[in-house]
Amino acid sequence: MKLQIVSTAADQQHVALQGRLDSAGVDAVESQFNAAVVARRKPVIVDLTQVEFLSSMGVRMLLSAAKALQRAGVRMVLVASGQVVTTALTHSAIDELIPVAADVDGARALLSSPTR
Amino acid sequence: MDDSNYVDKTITSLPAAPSRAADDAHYLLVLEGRARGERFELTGAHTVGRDAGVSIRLDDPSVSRVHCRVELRGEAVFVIDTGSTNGSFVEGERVRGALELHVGAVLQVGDQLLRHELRSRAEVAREVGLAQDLRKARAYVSALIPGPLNVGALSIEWAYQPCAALGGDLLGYHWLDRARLALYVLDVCGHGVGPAMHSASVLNVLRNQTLPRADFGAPSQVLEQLGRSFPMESHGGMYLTAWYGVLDVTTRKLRYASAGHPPALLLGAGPLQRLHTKNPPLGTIEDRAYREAELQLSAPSRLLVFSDGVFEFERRSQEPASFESFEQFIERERFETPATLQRKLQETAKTGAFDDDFTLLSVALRAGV
Repeated sequence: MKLQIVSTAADQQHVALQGRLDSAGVDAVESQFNAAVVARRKPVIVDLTQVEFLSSMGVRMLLSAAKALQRAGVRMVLVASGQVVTTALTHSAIDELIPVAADVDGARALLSSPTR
Repeated sequence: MDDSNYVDKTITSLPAAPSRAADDAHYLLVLEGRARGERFELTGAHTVGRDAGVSIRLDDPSVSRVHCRVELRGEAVFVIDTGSTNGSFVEGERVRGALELHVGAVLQVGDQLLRHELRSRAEVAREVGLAQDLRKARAYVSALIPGPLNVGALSIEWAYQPCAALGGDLLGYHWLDRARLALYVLDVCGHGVGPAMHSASVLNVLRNQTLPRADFGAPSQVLEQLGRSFPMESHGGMYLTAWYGVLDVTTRKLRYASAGHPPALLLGAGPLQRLHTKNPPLGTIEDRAYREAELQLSAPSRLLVFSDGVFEFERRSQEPASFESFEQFIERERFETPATLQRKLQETAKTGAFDDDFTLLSVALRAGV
């Protein structure tokens, strides 16, 4: 499991996760993810298009980060396109708590929209 | 008092410091596979395999009957393959002749992984004591699950296997009145004592119907009030997913709602049907109205309610661990009981074990009863 900081700007940042976001993947990446996403308290796009598998532990990591940012009044938007990941997001109904876009442009639009 | 005498007496009255080396022992700890967590002390020459007569038994088809020998020679441990089908490997190197297994190194026997440990027996004994406490806790949690039910046209069976000593999953059912049966599967995110305590608390609330302002015959109300009662912020960041249904056995009407949980599957005369209502996991959001659905069941039919552990595990094949592949498996494979299904699925697991808790509730309606 890898975390890539795609871009970081004053007003928003863009990170991408790659690999299997299961228990082992979460163990490997969660501290780095929280440092990059939660601690900076900036609107963030989390790209999951290179994530092959999303387990309930991966969902927990994303949800905890989104809720921490939400408490600080900051938005997080996911990008997901693969069937395995989108099914996991739909079944867990996390897409009702964290906005999901099919591509990065869509995520940017969601991030800059006045309301969710 | 003479100082020198005092010092002498003090020193001679102390027991000899225990020699760490004297208390240390060599162990093989199973890291992966069905016997995960089991520890074998090495005292001399041991045979490893799946045969009943070996000294270190690994019940896995990828392991030969007598796969290899592990020998403690002085303070060194050596592995000798005994002509196994799948080979023995030390840190990825195939064993030919005798290969030393250093402390901390991993031995692969078929799909099983075992680590060589040098540890004090006292430390291991403390761990064994802790494991016994966990077994007692596991027995308590298992005792919360009702036994199978076979009444008239209705038959309820289940399979439940936590992946660790304690899991975050639980399941249950109870009669609301003479006709209506409440059915539920819970999954608290994570494993171990914390999630197990959390899921046991929630299950007891359901079993005893102690949720305020909820009609237990109305699945959406039950989930809504459970979410209000167990917010993740005041429960150590833990949230849970759930599937809750109410089956009227006289009319065969099923009301159900799910929250962040995989769909249940209905097997009947037609194609496989997903039973899912889109609601976020419980405890993640406040003041949210939950959706529910209603369905007329036919007979014969079978409802399978389960947690994600039944499909989220690595396969021997390259097949993805997806819900869709699980649906295909259900359609393709014949199974009589949840235990049969569990065994068939377990045979497809890469390590021979599930990565998560395995929880599956089966509710069958027979025709013509």
